[in-house]
Amino acid sequence: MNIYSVEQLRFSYDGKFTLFIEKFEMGESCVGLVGPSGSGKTTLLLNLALLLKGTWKKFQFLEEDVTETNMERLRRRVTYVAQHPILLRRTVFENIAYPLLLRRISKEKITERVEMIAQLFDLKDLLNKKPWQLSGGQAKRACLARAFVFEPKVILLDEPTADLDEKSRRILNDVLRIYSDRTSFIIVSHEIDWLSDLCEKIYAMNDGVLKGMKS
Amino acid sequence: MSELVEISLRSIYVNCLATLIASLIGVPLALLLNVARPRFRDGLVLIFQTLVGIPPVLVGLVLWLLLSRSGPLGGLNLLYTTTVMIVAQILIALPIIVTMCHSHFARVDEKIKLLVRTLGADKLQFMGAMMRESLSGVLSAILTAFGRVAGEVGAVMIVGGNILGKTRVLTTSIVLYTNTGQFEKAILAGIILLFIAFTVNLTATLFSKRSER
Repeated sequence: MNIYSVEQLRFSYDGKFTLFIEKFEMGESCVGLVGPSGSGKTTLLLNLALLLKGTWKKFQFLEEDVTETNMERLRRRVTYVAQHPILLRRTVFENIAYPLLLRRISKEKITERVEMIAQLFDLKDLLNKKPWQLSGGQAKRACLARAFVFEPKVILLDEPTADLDEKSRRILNDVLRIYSDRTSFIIVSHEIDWLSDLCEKIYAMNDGVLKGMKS
Repeated sequence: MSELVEISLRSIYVNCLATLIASLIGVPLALLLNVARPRFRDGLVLIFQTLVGIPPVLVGLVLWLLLSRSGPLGGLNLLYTTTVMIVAQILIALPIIVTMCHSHFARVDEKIKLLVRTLGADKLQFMGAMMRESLSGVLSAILTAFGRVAGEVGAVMIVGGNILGKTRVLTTSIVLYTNTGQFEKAILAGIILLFIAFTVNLTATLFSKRSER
């Protein structure tokens, strides 16, 4: 099943920077994206997360044409995790539970799933803490847990290893492997070796253009 | 004394109900202006910003002209009732609430907006999240509006008529007591007015702190 099938996607911030993707097909469960800072990697992820809207000749997500009317519905099946942790002014538990709450899942199930994901990300002792009581690495793990907890079809990870220590990286690697059977990933990172271990394909971006591909 | 109690209760009723109705209209309107971004948004915000500074006596005058016997809405017989006093105060409070809330919603970090959308919020849930992120700002807008209507005298004097037992409120009674040399009563009414404002502010502050805990 094709996750993404995109042709001639263009996006521009006020005409200053232009993202242009001639063709991007994704059927794999993990794809890497590398490129220098400012090359448009985050902009591409935001377009693929249906958070920015450019113009295109073809844009299919989960084999469905993306249109103005179905964008909100399709957006619920993909999530973007930013490079720097962003947490709501609530406890870690409430932050992780938030996407489940938006999907009107029952309280018992929410507790069960949050505790399960907190266990995986080693956040069990931090569930009652507020964002300002967390270290950078703990906040990042909370953000990652919040993305995994509702098991979207695709998770777009922007520099997921930034802010993470060695132990947290191992945790992330384990979780990525556990979830690879039900979730696909596009990972932006400067760590090509790490991406090579994890991903089936690696794309390179430069000046807003998706240039090369290494298998 | 019983006269002052009755005037105080009427003041609380008129001010609180007007602020409540203005909030129920103003907060969702400000949210809609932010989230839906209609084409006429900037113009509408500019109009509300202008109306923030409208003299209450002008609101009173316009309402009086509309509702007087020879006016287009004279048949409603609303002049010199608490209903029209509430309407006048809603018109004074609404621009304050819309303008202040709009500014607080606009100040919510773009990253938070992005986060809420990428976690799957629909439009209504998105508005709820914006509301929660700006709760203290929304409360401060409502309190500012309450402060304005609680201390307002011009409009309620014109449309209410300051009728004893019917439309007299604390501010209009202070004017009357001062004009008739009853300074002790005027000062007492002023203290009651301050006490009401203090109680409302204290309650809102406690609520805000509790919700942020």
